[in-house]
Amino acid sequence: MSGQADANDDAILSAYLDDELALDDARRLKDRLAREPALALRLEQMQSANLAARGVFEAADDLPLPQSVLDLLNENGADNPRATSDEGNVARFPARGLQRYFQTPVAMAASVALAAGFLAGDVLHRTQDADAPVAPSLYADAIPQRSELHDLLETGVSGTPRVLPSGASGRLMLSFENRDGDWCRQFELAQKTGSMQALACRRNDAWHMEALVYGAPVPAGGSYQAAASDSLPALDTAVDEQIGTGEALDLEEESRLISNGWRDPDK
Amino acid sequence: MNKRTGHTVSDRRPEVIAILPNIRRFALSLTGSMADADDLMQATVERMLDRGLPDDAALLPYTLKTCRNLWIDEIRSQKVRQAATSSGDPLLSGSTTACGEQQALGEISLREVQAVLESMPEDQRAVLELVAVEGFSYRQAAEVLDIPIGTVMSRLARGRTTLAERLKMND
Repeated sequence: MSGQADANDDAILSAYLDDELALDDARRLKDRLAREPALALRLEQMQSANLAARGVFEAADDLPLPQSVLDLLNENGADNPRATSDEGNVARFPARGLQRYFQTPVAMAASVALAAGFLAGDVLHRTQDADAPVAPSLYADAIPQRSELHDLLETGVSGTPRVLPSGASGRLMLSFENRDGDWCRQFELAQKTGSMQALACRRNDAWHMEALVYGAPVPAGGSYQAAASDSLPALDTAVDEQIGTGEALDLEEESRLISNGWRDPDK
Repeated sequence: MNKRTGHTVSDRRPEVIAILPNIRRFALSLTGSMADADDLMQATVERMLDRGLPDDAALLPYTLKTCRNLWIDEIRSQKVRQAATSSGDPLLSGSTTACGEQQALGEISLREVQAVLESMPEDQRAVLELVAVEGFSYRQAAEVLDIPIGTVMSRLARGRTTLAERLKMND
């Protein structure tokens, strides 16, 4: 690909991140993302870099405002305001656009965002069949069927960690039926450079990301042991919203659904 | 009371206080230094108190535009002269991090990102901050920075790709 073509693609990807592409252009880009793994990976990396930059600027919010400025506005030190985000730490996935989808604790934003972006790329881009095209983006309408993540969601048993071909560790944490009658699963992915917990729901025979929270990197020097992690509180809210008054599936119910390809014969 | 508009910033003091973090972050993107950012923020507030607000002005975009104009017209050249004779100032100092080994990893990576941002052109940092952090649309960012929307688009793309490539190289 020529340098000019790269620059054009970068501008389009960047505008896609900001939800600034016209509908037709966004649709064409999504088609390309499904066909061109390299382009999708570049989008992931650009998003990670975007989040990393946010982390640096938002870290300034942790520092107290200068008293001299507050004095100008006749405020005393006890009223020193801090920037707070009302958006919480959980990302929701609207139909298109990627503006501020992923929220992380401010201090961790830079490293975790980078790690998670590359982590997501690994588990989505690596497949058993090296020649098969993949729909690569974590933010696309459906998790690609040839991906490690799809395989984990389809066949993973809750509570049992699994080492994925990419080297990441995956663990299903919870399975339940949501308010719309779709099967949903909370899961965790991790490697030593980053981790994330997320919620995916199955509809139209495909898994769709519903929420995601980045977690901390695994301490250096050790391989990841997924079983030790607790559910991240920020994701619990997303789970609670989806699960309504329902309950999590027990292992027997879950195993039955896995065996049936997540089709419930009783429905 | 401002003579020109009859509208005082003091009337909207709670709103101005509420956007101080926004002003500071944007000032940081322009100046590249926390200390200079605080100076610029103060100068912006002083300018606003002195000149007031047009009745039809949206507070945040107007304030950031004021900040940017102050930086370009008055303060940047002073800081450049000062920097030539000083040891410089990191983009961010004293930031908090999580505890334990996670803190160590977080700090190292945060510093890497800071270093790359510091090395980037100011105009790329500024547009990245407005869009990625403040959530401005391209049109709003273009108005604050007084540049065409196409320039916003290209600077954003270059800034993000530069950041992505340099951070990847540091892995």
